[in-house]
Amino acid sequence: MSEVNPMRPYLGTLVGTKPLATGIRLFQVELNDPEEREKFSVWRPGQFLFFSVLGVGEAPFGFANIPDPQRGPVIEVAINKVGHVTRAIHALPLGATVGIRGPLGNYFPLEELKGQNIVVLGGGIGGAPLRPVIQYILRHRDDYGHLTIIWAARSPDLLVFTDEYDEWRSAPDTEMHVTIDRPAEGWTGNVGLITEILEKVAPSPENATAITCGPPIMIYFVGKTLGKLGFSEDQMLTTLEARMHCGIGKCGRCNLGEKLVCKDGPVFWQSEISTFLESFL
Amino acid sequence: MKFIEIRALHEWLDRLAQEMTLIAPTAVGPQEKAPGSRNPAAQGQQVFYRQVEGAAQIAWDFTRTALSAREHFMPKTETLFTIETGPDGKAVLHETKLEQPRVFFGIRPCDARGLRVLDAVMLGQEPADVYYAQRRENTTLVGLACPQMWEDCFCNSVGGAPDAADDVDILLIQVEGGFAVQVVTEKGERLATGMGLQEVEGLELPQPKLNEQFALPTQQQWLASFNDVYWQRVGDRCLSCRICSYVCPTCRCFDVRDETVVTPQGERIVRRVRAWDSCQGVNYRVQAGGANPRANLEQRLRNRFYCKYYYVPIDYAADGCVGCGRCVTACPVNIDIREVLQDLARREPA
Repeated sequence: MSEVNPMRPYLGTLVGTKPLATGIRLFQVELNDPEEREKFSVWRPGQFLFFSVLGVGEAPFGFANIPDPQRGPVIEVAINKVGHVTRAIHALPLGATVGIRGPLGNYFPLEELKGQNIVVLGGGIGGAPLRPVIQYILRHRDDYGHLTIIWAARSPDLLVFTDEYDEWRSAPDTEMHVTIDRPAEGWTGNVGLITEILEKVAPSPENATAITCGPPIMIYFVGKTLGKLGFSEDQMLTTLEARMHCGIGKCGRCNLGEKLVCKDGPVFWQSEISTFLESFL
Repeated sequence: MKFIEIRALHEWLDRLAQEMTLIAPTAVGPQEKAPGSRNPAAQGQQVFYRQVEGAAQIAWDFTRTALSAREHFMPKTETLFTIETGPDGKAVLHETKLEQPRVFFGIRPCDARGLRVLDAVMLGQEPADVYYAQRRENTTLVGLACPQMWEDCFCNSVGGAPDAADDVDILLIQVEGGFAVQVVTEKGERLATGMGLQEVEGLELPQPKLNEQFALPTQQQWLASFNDVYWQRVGDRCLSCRICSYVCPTCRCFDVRDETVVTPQGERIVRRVRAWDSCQGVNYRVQAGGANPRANLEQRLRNRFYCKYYYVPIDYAADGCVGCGRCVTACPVNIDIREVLQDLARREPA
């Protein structure tokens, strides 16, 4: 077949992995073919890929990093061990051959948001697709205004990318707030839902955009709270997930009404979501 | 008008079957009830589009096939590629090879029209699906007009006709002693050169008997009915058995999985397969973490109707239903898409 086959994955190698949280690990993959690596390395914050364990299956994940010119285009994904493919990914030895399809979907319109204050709200593993947003803004720090990061998890052991918080906090014109849902032994930080701390921090809606990712119910209530703070639905971005089998608008799986999460998303403005015929909840 | 005698047609089909893959309606199953009868239904047989070796195997006297033509362009299960691990431990992927040229003989106009939807989804938007594309390209469609609309058929209510030539390369219409032949496309012309067609003046085409036509709901009516309790009432009857999707010429949802098979020779083959799926299945939307955004029956049933009549027209600019009536006949609890459409169409726009 001479045409590009979108269902055929590029082959890559698992070059690194480390624990992020209970049940969640970061996986680093480098594509084997230099030409394919080059072609692939243009992904943007918010896009996703399909990760294959050959012989087991494939599943979609958001990119957890941006292409790094220093380190070469290593692909990072944060993966929670919950299903049949993710269990197999967690069992992979370093050096294993894996398959990668992508980059897929739309992305956060960060170019359009230049000059604005940005509020990033991540819940649990929902923080993973927001890490590239933070990396992008920190890399282009002068292009953006104030950065507020609000990071949440059910419990301390479910917070992701904890070893990077210091770096994020100490970046210029950046503040970070971390909270957990319920009190936990040894935890001295904030306790309470992300909406509570959001109300307390109360970022100004003026010249600002909020970017949220987390479980659907969190996205819903964060949207409500942002509304109370004066954010309009055109100032709220989010990224949705859905079961998918192709990522290119063919398998039919991920529709919400006439919208397809894979092709029309996964990044949506809240103003789009509220016109969806079918609820994302 | 071009014409071919029955005997000449049979000879041509026999020759074709020698040269390339010939798919045609054929009776499947034992001849239990009426041995020797030419009517497959009377024998308790079912008709499918299958590969045949000649005209003798073709079922001429049939209404609609049990499954649509979809299975020959998007197989129920197909291997996308096999995964081989070499002696060095490195994986190599082998994509499924191109298929031989095919003639799809006897496709009903509604089934051919159903390919419009599959074309729009699989080819019309980048990136195209290469597996579907190669099958479509390699196949010439020779349609066989329905002499009448059958029980449960409603093609005339959704823009089709039992003798429509719009979606085939050649259309045959049965007349006295043979078939009138309409050559529709260039692809059809290339194939027709070998048919030995005669030119007959004043050939009279039969008018197929039509079923009563009904009006479809408007876009406004679809929009206004989304959260209606109506779906709960219809959904209450649904068994989530998925037969409606299975027999549908335009359903295209698929699942992708890896599987390992061991051949009788002991060879281990690892492959990625794509298989038909249905939005009516309970687990269709379930994510690994357990979330299921479409957990209720009525949500799933509603999705099927909206997909056909609201989503596909918006997303792919195609009519999502061809009115073949298979889902009406097949549904074990008599959920009748015609009734649903007429119920909604009767509503006052909001």
